[in-house]
Amino acid sequence: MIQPLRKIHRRIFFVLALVLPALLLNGIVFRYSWPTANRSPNAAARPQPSGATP
Amino acid sequence: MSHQYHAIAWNRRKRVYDIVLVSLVTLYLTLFIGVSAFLFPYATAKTLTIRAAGSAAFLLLHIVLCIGPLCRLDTKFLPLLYNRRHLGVVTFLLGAIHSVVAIRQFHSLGDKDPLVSLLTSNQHFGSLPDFPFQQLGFLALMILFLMAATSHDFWLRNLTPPVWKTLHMLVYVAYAMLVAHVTLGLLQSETNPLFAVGAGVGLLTVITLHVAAARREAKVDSKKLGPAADGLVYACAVSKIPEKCATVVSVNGERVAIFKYDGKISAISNVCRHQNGPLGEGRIIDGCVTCPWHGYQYLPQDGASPPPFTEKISTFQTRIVDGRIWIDPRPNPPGTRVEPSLIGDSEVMA
Repeated sequence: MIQPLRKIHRRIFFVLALVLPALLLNGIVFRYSWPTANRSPNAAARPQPSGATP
Repeated sequence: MSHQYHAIAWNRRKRVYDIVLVSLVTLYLTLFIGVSAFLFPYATAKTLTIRAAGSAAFLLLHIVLCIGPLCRLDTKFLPLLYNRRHLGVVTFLLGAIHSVVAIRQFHSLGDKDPLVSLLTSNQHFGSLPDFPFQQLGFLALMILFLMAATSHDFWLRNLTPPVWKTLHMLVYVAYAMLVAHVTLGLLQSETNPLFAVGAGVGLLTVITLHVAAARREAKVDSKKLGPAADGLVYACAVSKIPEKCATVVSVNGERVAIFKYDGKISAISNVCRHQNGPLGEGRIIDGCVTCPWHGYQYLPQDGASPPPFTEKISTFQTRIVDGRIWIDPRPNPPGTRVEPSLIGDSEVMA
């Protein structure tokens, strides 16, 4: 009963240990530079993240 | 179940736990909003609420996820495990506050329904910086709601522990979504490295603790038992087990707790019927094996909770030869009485 759950747990964390750090690093590396003076006009239409100060 | 433990009703321990929890969360929110209002006087009350509640929920989720592995690594963290579900419910409530205020701020001024707007306004699934991170947060909140709504012994009993546990493992999916929500949301607009470092440290802590605990558990599971004889397998020496405590061995892929008490040896399933707690890490109190997680109790001879409680777990036949404990790997049906093996004088001294 416990053993299968434990195996699932191990597999989940093996995947998370690979995927989440990669996501975090990529998210930071490929983010836009806010704010930029020479941003393209289209960039202004991008949705603001909820954490952005109005 | 213990005659002292009330599964549903409030008890003193729960009240103290919740008072401390609510006080700390209130203190965090007050400090966060106070300091932010001082540092960013142009920020609106809604913005401060979104940030305070969101960061509190994310922080609390990290704490919730760290408690389990910390308890596997060191039993002194066990008091944090009692009523961990309350932490989960508070995490959901903080996430709900964050979500409701954010939806009101960013999606309630158009002609679309705010929820429809939330789910459809951003479709840039192919772009990392433009990814619809708010939808990830919303999905994570739905998972946290499902878990909070079933965080009660009523649901645990009706769904059965294996189903309930499996359902609550969705917390890892919610966590992954929330890391993505923060990375693709907050960290896109806030370039202060402190935020990125904070998120990285939190992620690293959770992963490291879980991997360390999993490695330790894997060691117990992979430990080979001794040779078989007469259908029994060698488990351990009597002298290895402290009085009124147990040693845990893995038999046929499941764990068995072998208890030593009052000159006797009994073997029962290591899995508590309540929340799958590790009975072998508990002690014998008042003649009953007591689960270290929530105090559920079982008689070591028959694996049954003392009357009027009805929980039962499997028992195993044991035999002691020359101070060595042998165990039958085939479990008896839950609640089956097995005569304890008597420890001889020389074996007690061993």
